Amino acid sequence: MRKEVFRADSVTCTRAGLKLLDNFSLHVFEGEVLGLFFADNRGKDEFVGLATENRAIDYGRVLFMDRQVNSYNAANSVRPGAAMRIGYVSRTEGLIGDMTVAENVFVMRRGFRKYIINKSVLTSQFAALAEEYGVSLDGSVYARDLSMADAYIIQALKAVVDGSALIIVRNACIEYGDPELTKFQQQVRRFAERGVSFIYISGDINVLTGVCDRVAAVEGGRVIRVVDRSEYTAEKLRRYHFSPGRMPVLPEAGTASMLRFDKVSFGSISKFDFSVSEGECVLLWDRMDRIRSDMRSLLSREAKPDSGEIRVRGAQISKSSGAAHISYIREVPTRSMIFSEMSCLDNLCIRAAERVPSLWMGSARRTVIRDEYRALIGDSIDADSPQGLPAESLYDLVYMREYIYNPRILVLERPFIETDIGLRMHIMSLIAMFKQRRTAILIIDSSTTDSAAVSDRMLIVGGSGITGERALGIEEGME
Amino acid sequence: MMRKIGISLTMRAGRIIVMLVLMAILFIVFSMMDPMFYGSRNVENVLRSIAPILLIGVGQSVVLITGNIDLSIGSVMGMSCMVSATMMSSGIEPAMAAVVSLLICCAFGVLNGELVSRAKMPSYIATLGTMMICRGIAQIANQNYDTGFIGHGARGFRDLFFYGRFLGMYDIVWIVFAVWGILLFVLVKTRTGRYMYAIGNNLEASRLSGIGVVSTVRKAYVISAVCAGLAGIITTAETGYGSMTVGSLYELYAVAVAVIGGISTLGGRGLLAGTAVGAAIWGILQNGLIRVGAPLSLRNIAIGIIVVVVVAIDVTSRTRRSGAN
Repeated sequence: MRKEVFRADSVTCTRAGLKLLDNFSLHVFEGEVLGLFFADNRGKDEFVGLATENRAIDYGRVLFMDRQVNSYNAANSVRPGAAMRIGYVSRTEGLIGDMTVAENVFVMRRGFRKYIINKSVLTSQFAALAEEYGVSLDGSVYARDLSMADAYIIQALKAVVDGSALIIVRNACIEYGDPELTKFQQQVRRFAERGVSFIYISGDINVLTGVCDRVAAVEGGRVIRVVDRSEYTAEKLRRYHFSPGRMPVLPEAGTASMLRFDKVSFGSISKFDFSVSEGECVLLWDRMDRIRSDMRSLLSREAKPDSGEIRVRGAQISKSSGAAHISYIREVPTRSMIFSEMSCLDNLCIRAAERVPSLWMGSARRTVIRDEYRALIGDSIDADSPQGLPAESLYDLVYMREYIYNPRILVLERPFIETDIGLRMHIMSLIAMFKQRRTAILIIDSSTTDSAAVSDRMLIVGGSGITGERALGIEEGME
Repeated sequence: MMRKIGISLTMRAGRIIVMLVLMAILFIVFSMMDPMFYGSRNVENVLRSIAPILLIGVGQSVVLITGNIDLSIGSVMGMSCMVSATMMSSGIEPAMAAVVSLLICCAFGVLNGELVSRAKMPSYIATLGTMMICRGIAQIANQNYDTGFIGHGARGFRDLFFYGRFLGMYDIVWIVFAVWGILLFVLVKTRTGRYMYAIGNNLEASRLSGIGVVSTVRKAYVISAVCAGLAGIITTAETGYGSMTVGSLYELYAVAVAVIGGISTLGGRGLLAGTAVGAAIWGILQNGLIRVGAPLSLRNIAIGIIVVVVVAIDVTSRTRRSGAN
């Protein structure tokens, strides 16, 4: 009989009147990789908090290694970490970039008691450990130099060294079909063969089916279906894929070039040569996610290209010309692009003030904007602060801020990252609004899953610049 | 939704209201301990003594709102005092001396702004450097000596900035009130003001939203330097000579006044109305404690405790709100 590592029995968590976990039941066996697919993001943070911090629950109980560690009766709960050693692998923040891999694994963990650190000893210890788990990495490499997959692998290895019997993987934002993802997932399987269990959380069902023994679909904070590896069929998972019928209808692109990169080189960007036309949406697919910050520096006019030139509507981009035509929206704009201390209306107007300097003098102009955009944004526009608003409203604020400004070119950085299906559809409709207005759109993304669905063309970025180009249709984006 | 808005507005104004209540309590307590405290003559003197501290507090507030800090503000004040006093004691027209002093201060404001926004130096390091430079200039302005008396020719100047009265209040109170009002208008009603809040709130989003970060931060530092320069000139008018130690520790007093008034040290939040209340609390505490015979150490401890408590409340409330979000 297989040993059960983790069990959540009818767990219910309510925060601020909202049931985040609703009768949530789940169990994970030793050496099993269980996929968790949150169809609407609800309860995702709460579940991770429950597993890693042993947060208080309103109903139900949690067992770890056959021992009850949490229950609605607080007296039956234990301190986090006392009995639950659950590792957490999430993006790359789990490692300290300026430390070597060996230091990250051995020094930065609970229970490290040595006062004097001998780097050579650590490196040799790491080599033995890496060999044991089939990890092909040098312990003296700095964590900041690791590839994305290696960073995840080291985080998982660190959790194993720390004695974690269960590891939660979240936001492993590597593209489906990417060799990096395959590398990471193969390593996950190797850990699993040695008895380590995993809960693998991803918003891409394809990513989960590639590594998981079972996949549990969660909707409304409740596990609604668990599908076994032997039962993975398109029919069973269909409802969690996009429905093409819900895709916004996008107009045909024009021919007038809005943005032109003419053999531009800068940092990781090597001789980029492409153009984006009026009303066209182009996906710049950089699966290694290396060019994003350099593109941001160039398109926000913080830096000049080392060679080549960028042209906006035929004129070379500079601080005085071309700058006014570009809008730039960063990844996860709900965090990066919101002015949390300003009212929603001020958030909406801040960009428009560039064109109407007297916007803040009186309230008349802002009242007009508020009345006009209430139909699109809803009552959130009256909120005194964006804090606490739902994600959809925050996305509305950021995109509408640029919509009011009416740029010629819209640049989007990984627009669909950390979003659920409902939000993705909403973002697609926002992007469609810009396309209807014939704004040229450039999407910079390391994933094609959703971005391809709204793009007309995809440019593939390789080590030596743009290595390929593909025309896209809506159907291709669905694949 | 409307209820939510009401609650939020109350929370934002809450800090100022709390500080106003504290100010009223201090005023009542000191009045009970010394009935002369609430006499019109003492109130006028308190207002006059608040003027320079409010000026540098306002300057520091503007910089803090952009998410930076100006540690040179006290030294700029000292430099302004020494340069203007040296020129006046050499027989130069007081108006000319004041203008030249303000221009030099302005130049240091530009320098601070450039170092912080264009060269991307941490603001506390950049302004620490200019703090030393300005203090050095204050010292060499009169060959490492305090200046002599600025002369009887500066009588009009001293009247305007210290002794003169208008509508029952000292001129300087009106001047500082006007500066405060102008800056309040700039922050609340102009694009530049909103950009200052935006930069302090979210620098990256501001940059990507096309806000001229360099020019806006530079403006904030120029405002701060001009306020400090004006405070230095007021001190010259008050003392009648230039002292090399003028403005020492005022950079910290400026932060204290701003923070007591609810200006967030994390940037993007606060109202100049709060700074005025902060300066008033400062003035009442200083004056009241002197009148009841408290030692200097007690005054410093009282101010220090208030600053620590207020900053702790600010940081806690921000952490809670971001956590709840």
